[in-house]
Amino acid sequence: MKNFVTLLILFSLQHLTAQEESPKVSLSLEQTTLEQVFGEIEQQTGFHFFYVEEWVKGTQVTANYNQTPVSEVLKKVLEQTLLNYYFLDNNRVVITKSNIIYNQLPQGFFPDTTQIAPERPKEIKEYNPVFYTQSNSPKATSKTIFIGKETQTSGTGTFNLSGQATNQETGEPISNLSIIVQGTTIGTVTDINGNYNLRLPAGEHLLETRSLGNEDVVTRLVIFSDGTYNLSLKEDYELLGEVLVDSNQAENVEDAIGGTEDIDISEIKNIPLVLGERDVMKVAVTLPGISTTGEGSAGFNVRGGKTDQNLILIDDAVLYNPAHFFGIFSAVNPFTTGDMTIYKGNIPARFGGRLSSVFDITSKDANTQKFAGEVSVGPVTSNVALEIPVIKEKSGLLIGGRSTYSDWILKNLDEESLKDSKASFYDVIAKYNHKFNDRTSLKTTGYLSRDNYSITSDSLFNYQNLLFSMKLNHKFNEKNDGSLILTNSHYNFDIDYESEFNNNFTSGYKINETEVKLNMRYLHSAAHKFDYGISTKLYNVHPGKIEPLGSESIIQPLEIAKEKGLESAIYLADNFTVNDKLLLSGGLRYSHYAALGEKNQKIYEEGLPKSEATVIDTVHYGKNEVMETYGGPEVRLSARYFLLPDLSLKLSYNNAYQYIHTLSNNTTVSPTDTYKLTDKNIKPQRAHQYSFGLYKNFNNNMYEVSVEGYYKESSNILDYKVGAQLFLNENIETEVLQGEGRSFGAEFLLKKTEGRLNGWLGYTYSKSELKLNGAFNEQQVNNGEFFPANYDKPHDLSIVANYKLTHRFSFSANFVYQTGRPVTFPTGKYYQNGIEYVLYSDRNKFRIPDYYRLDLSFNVEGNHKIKKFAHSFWNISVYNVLGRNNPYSVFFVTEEGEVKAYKSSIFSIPVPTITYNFRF
Amino acid sequence: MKCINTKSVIRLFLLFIFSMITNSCVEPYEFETETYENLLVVEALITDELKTQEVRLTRTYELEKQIPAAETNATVTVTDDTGTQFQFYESDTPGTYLSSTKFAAGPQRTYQLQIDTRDGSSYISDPATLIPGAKIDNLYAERSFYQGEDGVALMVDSEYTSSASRYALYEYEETYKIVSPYTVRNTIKFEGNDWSVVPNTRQETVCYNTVPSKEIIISNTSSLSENDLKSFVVRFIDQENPVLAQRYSILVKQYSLTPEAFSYYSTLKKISGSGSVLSPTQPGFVSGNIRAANEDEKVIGFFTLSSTSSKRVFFNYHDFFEFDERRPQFPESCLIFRPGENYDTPIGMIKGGTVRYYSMAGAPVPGELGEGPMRVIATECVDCTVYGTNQAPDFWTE
Repeated sequence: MKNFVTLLILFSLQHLTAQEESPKVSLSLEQTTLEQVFGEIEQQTGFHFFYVEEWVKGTQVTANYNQTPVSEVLKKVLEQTLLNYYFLDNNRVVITKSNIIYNQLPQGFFPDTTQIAPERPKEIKEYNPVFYTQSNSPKATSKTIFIGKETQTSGTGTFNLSGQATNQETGEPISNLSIIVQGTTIGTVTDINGNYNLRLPAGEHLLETRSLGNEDVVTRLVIFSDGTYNLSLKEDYELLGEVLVDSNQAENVEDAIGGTEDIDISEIKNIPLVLGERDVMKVAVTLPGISTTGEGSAGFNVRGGKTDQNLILIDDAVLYNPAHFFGIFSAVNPFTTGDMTIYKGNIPARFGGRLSSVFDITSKDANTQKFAGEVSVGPVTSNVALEIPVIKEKSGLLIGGRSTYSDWILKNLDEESLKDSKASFYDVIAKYNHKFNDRTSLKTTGYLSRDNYSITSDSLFNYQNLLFSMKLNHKFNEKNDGSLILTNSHYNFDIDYESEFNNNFTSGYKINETEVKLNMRYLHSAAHKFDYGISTKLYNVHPGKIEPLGSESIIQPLEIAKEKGLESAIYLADNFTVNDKLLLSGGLRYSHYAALGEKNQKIYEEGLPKSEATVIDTVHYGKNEVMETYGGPEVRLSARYFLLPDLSLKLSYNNAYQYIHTLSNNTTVSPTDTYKLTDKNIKPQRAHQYSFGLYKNFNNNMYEVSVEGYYKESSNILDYKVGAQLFLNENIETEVLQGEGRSFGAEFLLKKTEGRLNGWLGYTYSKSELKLNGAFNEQQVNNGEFFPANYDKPHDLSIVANYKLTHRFSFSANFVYQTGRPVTFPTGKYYQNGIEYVLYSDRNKFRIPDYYRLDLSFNVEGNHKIKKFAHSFWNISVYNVLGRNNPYSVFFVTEEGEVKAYKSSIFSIPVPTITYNFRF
Repeated sequence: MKCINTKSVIRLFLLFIFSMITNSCVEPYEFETETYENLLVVEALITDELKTQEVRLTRTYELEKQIPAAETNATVTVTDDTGTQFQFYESDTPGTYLSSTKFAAGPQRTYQLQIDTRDGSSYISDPATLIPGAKIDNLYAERSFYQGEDGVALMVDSEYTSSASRYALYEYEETYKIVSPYTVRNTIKFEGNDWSVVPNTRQETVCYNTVPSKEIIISNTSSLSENDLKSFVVRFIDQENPVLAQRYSILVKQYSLTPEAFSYYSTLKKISGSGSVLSPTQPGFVSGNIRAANEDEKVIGFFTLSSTSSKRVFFNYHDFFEFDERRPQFPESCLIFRPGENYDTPIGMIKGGTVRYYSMAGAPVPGELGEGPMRVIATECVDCTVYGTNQAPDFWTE
């Protein structure tokens, strides 16, 4: 140790790169010790070597060098050791170990060893014998960066390193870039703006970046104080598409929040497609804990939650219906999407209003340097995304559009039953990002999606989402930053009915919400990082109206009274690093909801089923008068503890309120489901979730394994009386039931992030049950006992794998196995007025056969010439290769007075698709 | 709709994408009872007509079975709010109970149905009332497009008073004339193993068939600007349906409903249909207004009180269809053919009842299959009694 210290003192700040001019030597080495080698070089060149004897002992070299530069020789002989060399002036060569270089002895090294001691030995002990030189490293140039200068206070041990990662060519921020400190468990991931923040112990580190689509870089960095280091990375097309899920290298082990899934959109292009659509939502469903009720059905069930319990955000604005074509396509354009983070366990305190999950989708920032674009041509849809610089390096515009040509295809089919069908959709998105200066930037997004479809020739359905969001980011100083967000979301559907008779009508539903949100961040110290903020959201709902269509129609116009509600919240969260091993993330959110007039509110007799007969009073509330309020604290607590450096345990508890409910009496989501605000008669939904997880990375983060478990309870979950009329009903409360839900599950995920073969395997065992009980028969389902929810699928296995043949050709496969979902099965039949009916008694007692499916795809990348106009990409996939006729549902109908049973399936045969993509 | 079979990959693929929009792939499902629940089923519709009222009691039955078991030896009583009791006795048809006196339900009274079954269980309905409905003013047929199909719609107009019930249930009974496409002058007469050709004396060319409605038809004028019901489609007959081919008659009976009864029938209607394939309706138990004394036991049925009104209409095929339109017929197609090599084959077939004698084989006729000695034709081409009765109903007018 003494020698080591002495040696360090010898170093100067300067790092000489004298390799080019180094003199040449000729050596013939046969089992020669390093000491002898150095002696020989000293003789031939007059160099002086400085080293610690202990280090060089035991290493023997056998080689021949003829007129080889000294630098070359040293590089070769030290290749297999932990040693490195430095040329100092006056022909002095310093041999160092493990790249630990100090230009000065760190302050506090002698007097205050307790502070730094836990850090240093660990690093040395665990240091990987890796030498980063240009010849043997796959990583890009290794360079040494010095952050700050030694000060009297630098002995405190750890410092803040922050900075931004940008694309060298385009200047666009690189999000989801993993920055790892080699040999340690320190690491982070850049946010959507490319920013990162690391806490590093004083001294030297090897920062390694990992991301998809960018070169991997290793930087030698010596830190003495808080500082900034910006990374500028080249794009790496060769890597593109190789790795499926690679981001968050260490994050899964390190983050305090369990149950988080991050999907990088560029990574999913190799996954087999159905009908040629690259779909983020479909990828989400392959991850544990996230499922849909059936193949092609809209809506997600996250950890046993109902489909209305997911907060789906596109650039902070709520997307009410994320599906096209019922659910076969997602309404999220994959080309304009930057990334998507799904919180299914502990939801950070800054989000609220939904019980089960947050799908936080962020659109890409446009390239501010040069024009770029991406085009995809598939059998059902085509997609174009353009990135247009507006002011160079300051602002850019991203425009994406997607549309079907299905109407055209439908018209050309000679299948009679389809002639009258119509189905088409499109979605467009535009995002403008403007950087005023290094501290302030503005992002504005507009989004529109629309579907039209008709099943019979006399009715026409359409629905649309319209979103707007504006986000102003400002960095006040090194420690404080914040963003002010304004969003507006709109969802509506219309049903037009036009026949030869006099009952033509047009009807529709509309919901609109406007939210203002302030999110602030305060980096208090190494130990504490605070997030705090406030938000308020105004809902305006037009629950339904019907109007006669045409002068002949005798339909009576009806408009259900408008609903209004104000949902507000305030939150504070602290990311508290207790010590090296324990990280706490505690958040508290207080949400409050007020149902606002104007409305005639019916008051029902307490304790009796709500019906026309139990109305005791009708109270009139004036415009914006508060009719009823609800609210309460929401706790978002999670903790991470390192059991071993690469094994962590996470625990979390989380509760939430939800003030909006979907009304649906179908077993799966339909575009004509409506949203109902909480009011005097319908209480907010609530949920508690307890979860824990174990996370481990193997082989330098090549393998990631996690096991998570959860238990969730919810209350006031909305359900409906059998056959309830929900649309255009003025007294919805008389048709609904509020019950309890409970679910638990274990989720296992194994990911291989690198190599020729990569992908993941996810398995979930879960149970989701509901209970609808009440004092009266009509309030009970299944005698008031727990029954499986429609989406309860205990076993759920997904395997996604990619195999890269060459740089240009790769195969991928996708396998899914799920327990069949529960359906309500008859317990008998009966005759009434000459017609046969089915008797249903117990809901969801029967299960349809298990579901399994294999998809395969073959991907061809265009060649990688640098000076090419466009990079092209072909994808040939076959969905459901095994041709399994997976049942979607089993149902019973009365036809011609008799009961008939049917089984429906969505894709019962293999579906082949070819898509062509190119980007420029 | 069957699953589509592979022919051309591309075409199939396109078809497939879009078939799921409408029908997806829906195929019959073989089912068997998982658990069977034996419940009492009550059919009790008491009207304002002065007549012997009827209540039918059956049990639910297993999915594999076709016919319900009757609930026999029960005691059925209807009591009004003045305490007047109307006793019912079981008729010759098991499970059908008739009132011992003729009575008519009136709008001023409330009624309760009480059933005591022979196993000692007892059931009672909620007090029910009768809300008078309107009379059917007009029942008429019109050629129209309905849900994309060309055909004949049978529609009802009713003029309501403001106090009349806005809800109604309809039942109909349709009768149609069937004319056999072929008439045979001779037929085969069997005597032991011998057979001979004799003149055909049976009237089997003109028949009539009467069929009751097989679906729940309900109307609701609460969403209409006037309470009057206009052009309400009770029955729609596709132009390809052979019931239209000759002369057709329908008797429509309208029953007024209370809002509760309407909600019961509309729920039943909703869950006995499938909804959209991608988002099927959530089925469940449809509870009516009859409760078991034992709280846990469920009962099926709605004790309904109605005022009724009925009307009949006739029309002929050519009232709505042109002579050059393809006229549907019973059966869809008929072929004369010559089976076998000697008489054994055709005679065997005639004896079996599947075909009838047409004539002895003569010179070959182009398109006629077989080289046997006898020309035969499918029974249903000659004998309309396969489809109905050769007796005209009493109400029938030409």
